[in-house]
Amino acid sequence: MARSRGFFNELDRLAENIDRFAVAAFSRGPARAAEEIVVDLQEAGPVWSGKFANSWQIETSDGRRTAGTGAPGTPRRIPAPLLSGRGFAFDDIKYTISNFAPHADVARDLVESDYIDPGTLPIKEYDRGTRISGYRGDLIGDDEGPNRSTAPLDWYPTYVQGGSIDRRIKLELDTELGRIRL
Amino acid sequence: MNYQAIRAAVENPLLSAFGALVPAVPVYFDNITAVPPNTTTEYVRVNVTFGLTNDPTLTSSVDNARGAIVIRIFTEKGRGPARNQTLITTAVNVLETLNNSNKSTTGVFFRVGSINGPSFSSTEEAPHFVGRIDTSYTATVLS
Repeated sequence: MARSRGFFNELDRLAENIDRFAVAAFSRGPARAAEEIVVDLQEAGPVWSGKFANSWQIETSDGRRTAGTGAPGTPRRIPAPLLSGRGFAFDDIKYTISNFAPHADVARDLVESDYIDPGTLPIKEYDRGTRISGYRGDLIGDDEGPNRSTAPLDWYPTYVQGGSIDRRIKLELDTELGRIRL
Repeated sequence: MNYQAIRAAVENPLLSAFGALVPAVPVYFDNITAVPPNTTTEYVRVNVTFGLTNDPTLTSSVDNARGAIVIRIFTEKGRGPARNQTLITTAVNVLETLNNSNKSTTGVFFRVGSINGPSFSSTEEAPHFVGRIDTSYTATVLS
């Protein structure tokens, strides 16, 4: 009888361990996905001084947040905060990614703006052309013209709406599931 | 993959809808350089972008593409939002009509997602008031 109870206790412990590993794997997956999405956004988006690219932030559903420095320079990777058990179990939206740069909407081609030449070269490679509206990336011309852009027009909706986010999340979850060891 | 057929599936109905207005409103698509800069003439810009192509699915021989459609309506600044919103309604109606089409054996089967916006903006220098909507799409080339 004692051996039988011990056997069941072992089973309980094993079940707990399986739960813990599984939750950890699922929890790391979304965190990695959020981090990689920010990397994708940094690569796809404009990088002139680097302020916009370093202004992405990742926030969990229970309010934990990590953010870039907002400082100029080469874009830096932002580690995502891990989900709490409650956040993992109950919240539909696990992570919110946003950008706190004052000119974030301009950088994402969501609103028009007026532009001045900062007098410095951009960190990222650029296209040259003539801006035909107030939208940042709205250039025409075959690499000739007074204006420069370090990301194509509508890079943001293309990334968000074009399926790349979905693929990134699936890839990261697949990766984490493949790492489970019991 | 027939990207041109996908592009035509969304561009042609928009061109027809704005062309049928009185007066007709010019529509400019990607890589068209005839947009009248620095005038108060109203016009429409349509950008169709491509994201993923042929994401693996359960079936073989797929010809799918996903992407975004961004429509910007440029109307005269300082005249209120009414005209701009009227033209946005035309664009939204076209996008909604795309979702009503039936799937046949040829052509392009096109579906758009939820429509973001409209959002409006204007700047001190630019002569236009701009309304903007965007949406995702999935398209399957059937022929």
